[in-house]
Amino acid sequence: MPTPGRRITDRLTGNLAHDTKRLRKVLEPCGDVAFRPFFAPEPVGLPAVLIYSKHNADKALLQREVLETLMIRALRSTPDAEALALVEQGLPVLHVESDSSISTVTDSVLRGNAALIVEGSATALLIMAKKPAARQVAEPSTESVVRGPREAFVEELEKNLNLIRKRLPTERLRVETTRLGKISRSNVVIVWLDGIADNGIVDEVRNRVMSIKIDAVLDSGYLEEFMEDSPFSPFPQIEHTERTDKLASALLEGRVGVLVDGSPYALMAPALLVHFLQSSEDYYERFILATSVRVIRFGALLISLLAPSFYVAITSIHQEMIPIGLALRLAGTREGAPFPVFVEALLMEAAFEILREAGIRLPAPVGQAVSIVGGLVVGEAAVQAGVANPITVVIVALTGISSFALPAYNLAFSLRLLRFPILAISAAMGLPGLAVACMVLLTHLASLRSFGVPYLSPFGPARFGEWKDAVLRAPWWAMLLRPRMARGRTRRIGRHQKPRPPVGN
Amino acid sequence: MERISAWQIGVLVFLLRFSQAIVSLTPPKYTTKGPDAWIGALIGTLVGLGIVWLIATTAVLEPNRTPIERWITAIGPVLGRIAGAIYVGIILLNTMLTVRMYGGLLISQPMPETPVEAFVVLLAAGACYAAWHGLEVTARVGEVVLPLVLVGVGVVFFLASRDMDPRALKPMLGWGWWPAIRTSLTPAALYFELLCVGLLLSRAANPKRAVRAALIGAAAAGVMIAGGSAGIVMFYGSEEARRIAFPLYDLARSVTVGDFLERMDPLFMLIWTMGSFVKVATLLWSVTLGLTQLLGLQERRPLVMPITLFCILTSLLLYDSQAEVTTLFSPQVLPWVVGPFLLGLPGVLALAELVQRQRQRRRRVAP
Amino acid sequence: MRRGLALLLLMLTLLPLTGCWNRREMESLGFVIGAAFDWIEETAEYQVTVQIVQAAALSPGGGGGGGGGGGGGPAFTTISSRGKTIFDAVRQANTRTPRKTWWGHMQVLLIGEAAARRGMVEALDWISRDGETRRLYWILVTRGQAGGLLRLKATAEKIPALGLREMIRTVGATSSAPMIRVGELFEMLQAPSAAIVGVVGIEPANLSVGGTPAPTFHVEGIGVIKRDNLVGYLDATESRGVLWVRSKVRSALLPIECPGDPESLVGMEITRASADIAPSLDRQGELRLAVQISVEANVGDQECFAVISRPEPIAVLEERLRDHVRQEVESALRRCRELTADCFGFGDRVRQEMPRVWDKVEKEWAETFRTLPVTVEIQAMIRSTGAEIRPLIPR
Repeated sequence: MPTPGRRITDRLTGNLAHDTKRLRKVLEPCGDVAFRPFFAPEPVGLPAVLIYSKHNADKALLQREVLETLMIRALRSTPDAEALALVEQGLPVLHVESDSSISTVTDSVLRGNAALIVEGSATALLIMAKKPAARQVAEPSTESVVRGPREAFVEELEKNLNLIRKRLPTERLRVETTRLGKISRSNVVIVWLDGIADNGIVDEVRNRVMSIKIDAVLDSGYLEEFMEDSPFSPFPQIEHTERTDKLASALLEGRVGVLVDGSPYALMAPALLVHFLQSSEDYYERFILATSVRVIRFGALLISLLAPSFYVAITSIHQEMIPIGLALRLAGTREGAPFPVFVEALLMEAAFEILREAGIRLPAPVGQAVSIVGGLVVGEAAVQAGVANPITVVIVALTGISSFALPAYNLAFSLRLLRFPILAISAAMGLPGLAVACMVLLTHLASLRSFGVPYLSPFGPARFGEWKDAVLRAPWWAMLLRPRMARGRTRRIGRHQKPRPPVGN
Repeated sequence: MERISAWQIGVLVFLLRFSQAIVSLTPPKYTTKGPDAWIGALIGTLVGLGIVWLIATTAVLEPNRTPIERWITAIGPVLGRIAGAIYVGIILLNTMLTVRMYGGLLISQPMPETPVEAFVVLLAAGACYAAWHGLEVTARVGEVVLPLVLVGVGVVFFLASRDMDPRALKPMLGWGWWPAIRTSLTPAALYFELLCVGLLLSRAANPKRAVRAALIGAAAAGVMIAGGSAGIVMFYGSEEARRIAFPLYDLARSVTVGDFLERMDPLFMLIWTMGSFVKVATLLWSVTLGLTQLLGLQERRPLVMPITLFCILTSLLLYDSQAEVTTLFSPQVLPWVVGPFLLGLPGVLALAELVQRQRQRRRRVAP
Repeated sequence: MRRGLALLLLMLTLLPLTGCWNRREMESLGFVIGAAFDWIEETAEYQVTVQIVQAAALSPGGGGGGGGGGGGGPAFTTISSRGKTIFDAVRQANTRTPRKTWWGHMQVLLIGEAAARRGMVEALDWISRDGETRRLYWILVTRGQAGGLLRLKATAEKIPALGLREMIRTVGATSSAPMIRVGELFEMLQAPSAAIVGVVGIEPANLSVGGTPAPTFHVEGIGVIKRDNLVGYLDATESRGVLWVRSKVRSALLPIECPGDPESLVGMEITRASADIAPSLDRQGELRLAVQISVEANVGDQECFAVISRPEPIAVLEERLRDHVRQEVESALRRCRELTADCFGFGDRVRQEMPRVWDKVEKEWAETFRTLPVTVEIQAMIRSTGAEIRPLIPR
């Protein structure tokens, strides 16, 4: 906030030469701002300066609609208006604003708009002519689906809001804009559905967003870390998506969205563990398929977290739990093995993590080559060389594949991380160690909250009504109510809609 | 103050009573006439329910206060603290026993070369984390664990049902009611594990419904233990069932369906750890809460670590041999040790408060 | 508070560092698949013979050097050792093998005759107390020494003990020996009646492995264990007689006289059999037992030319089937009375149905059993005559 003393100097004076000089002093060093002085002859004869950003403004618009109108055609307006009002009324441009603060003018020009100042007016006319470089709306690249909408957010906030509004053209959709970042001054938008989202949660989101002090917000990820309930937890407590339909469905469940200009990922809060195991496709496919896919994902979660630990515990401590045929085979292949199973599994896991990271960062064709060479050749060679047991390789590969089966990359990553301590304790204490580690993990999950909503709900605390959309996905006509984290369990779907064949046929 | 729902109270009570008892299944062991073990367990449950009813109804006479606080106001700071200390002491003893039992099973068969200390530390440290977070978190963990425990036990018994012979339950009451009643003493006395329900209920959001939930939870646990006893007798025969230290574990190992569905031990390990974890966490929470109030402290959490360490140490010193526990739990010992406290603590408290209230009323009327 | 939590997590992470007490790698275990316990009278010692799998010889590719292909080196080793008790002998065996014997996957246990006569409880105590084994392995007694049997490669399987395990399962085809897992034996040993165990022996030079004759295992008969000790053996027919009453006949082939042709036989294939024992008191208050056996059978083979797929010959066959089963049961009853051992589980049923009566007879049950009136009633039903309605050349 500028001090009162500075606010006086921040004002435009109405003296064109003076104001121009002051603006030049601020904007000229930027190097990409142009000052275009001109004279508008009709009807009063006004000296004026048009200030715009050379690269970001729509020059055609400024040329055609502003300069040509003012310099060649006469302005048509009420005769005795004040100079600026005259111009404002006469300009055939859709979006204009007026402001008398130098800092606002500067900010607006730097964002790609044009400012028009005229002699005798202490207010500048801001012509919204920004034409930023932006991507076209494209298919989502990280959350692809087989069936469902194929629209993803882009880096430009206005387009994103456009996409949301297109899906939810209701007066209930509330869009609250604020600016964050001392330098970037990024627009941050909080969206929610009024009457559906819980006011307490909306307030909490607003408070947390407002209280962030930062120099620049380059991606919504910056905000995520400021807004979490438990920053040290390995589990993500805010969900993000680039799918417009996913955000819309979250809003309909009473959650709150946060968008940042420049980021194609919208944040959604509160986020529960089950949300990270759901894909938007679950709601577009038939419920039987969706439910079974979710069960598979849940299994994949357990496998990616526990499979290597279970394997190590069983093979190095609880051999009597392996069926005899498998036990003999294992013992046979391990004949003369140089490392204990634990070390073997640890090495292979580490190798796999490296391979995966390598595959992600490389360009697609090379990445594939790396994963093939890495996965097949290294694994096979390790077995051939007798460094690793083939069954260990199978387990590690299974673990890796399972972690890919999870829709949320950030959750998959935390599981990847947690795998190693669990592996260590299982190697030392066997299945009891594994089980206690799971319980500690469960306790941690139970202690987490996302914006006040228990992270493990609807399982702990149990909300049986919401089990319809957790691991199961009930048919649409049966999911009658919104989750409780919305404002109460409000009705969402009309009753008695279960379809049936026509009667009497 | 953290609040838990009636459903959560029910879940915790069920797990407190069920999770370890289903593994050690005392009824068939302490009966002279094996086939009637399950009837004994049922009678024991009835008696136990009476005890739980006594504990629970006296606990909610003053909803938001724990029995410890009430002891102190009812019979004065010194006497009240002594009574409270006995109360907390029994729960502490229970915690120690539970932790030790957890390790006792694991070293008896699956991992005999590991020292029991390792398992005691493992479980206590894990449960301490939950107790530190408080009752609300523990209750949530319980809610998640409950279906897993039930499904696990169900699967083991279901797979074993193929080899169960209902004739082993014959003769039913062949020697009259007396052996069954004698058997019921241990299951009834084991309801001393639910003494901490008084503390749990002080945190119930809705005390009236919570009492009902606690009773239902205790009843469900009792009935399922009776069912489990019957299942064990049917599987092993009444004589062999008396011999086995940890029937559910043995059952999980003995199940074989088509030479393929066997070796259910991992499932068992999961049940055993999950149940014990929630139980120890709840008990630790109760002990620390009780102790905080006894000592008049503000914060409960600083006590969690020291109490856990104390539990670990004392549970290792608690007994030298498993045989002592077998003796302790026998119908000749346990009921007479815990019975007086079980009936006395809640009863005397209610009486003392009644007397106090009457005296106050008289005083108010007198002038 | 945070510090306390950190301390706790530290404790959990320190656990792995303190050591891996129970850790043992798979390749370091000597998998005991079969074992034999013998009592050596001369030295008053137990002899334990264990069969240990050489897992490397079983795996297809791996195993470093040595054996190479599947059929390479022998897949098992057998070793004997002696000691004052079973456990002592097992410990002695551990000093004679590079890999510690590990009993988690035991499949078959043989008890030698001398050890079984000396006492089953003594022989089985260690193995049931130790807890490495499950109660699922099969148990058999032998006539004479048991250890020798494990040394023979008397089966085409790579590991003899595994072959023996499979043979125990196939014995249900004739039901001439019971299939008893150790858990079941424990139950029987504690029950009022006598316990029964299958008997295994060797048939010399019956199996031919690559042209050279080799011995083969043969499971047949029952070893009768009265309270704790082996008291005698039943032959194949008597064994089945016991199994009829115990409802343990899975299948069997009974040759009976052909209707109308006493020279030739019809083989009856038993498909289902069950029995019920009903104790009761007669007028004088004396205990008596009624055994009711119901048998279902198919015609398995036929030597004669008679057309039997008609009601009348079927009725005749059923009658003869009944007689055959009755004879088997009665021969078993006779033999068991000689041994004064209630192999049939009569005592269990009396205890279950008439606990008060049982309390009176329990003391002298063995004597009571010798003179106990037992009536055997049999229902036989022939369900099918197979895929043929009439013989090739009907008469």
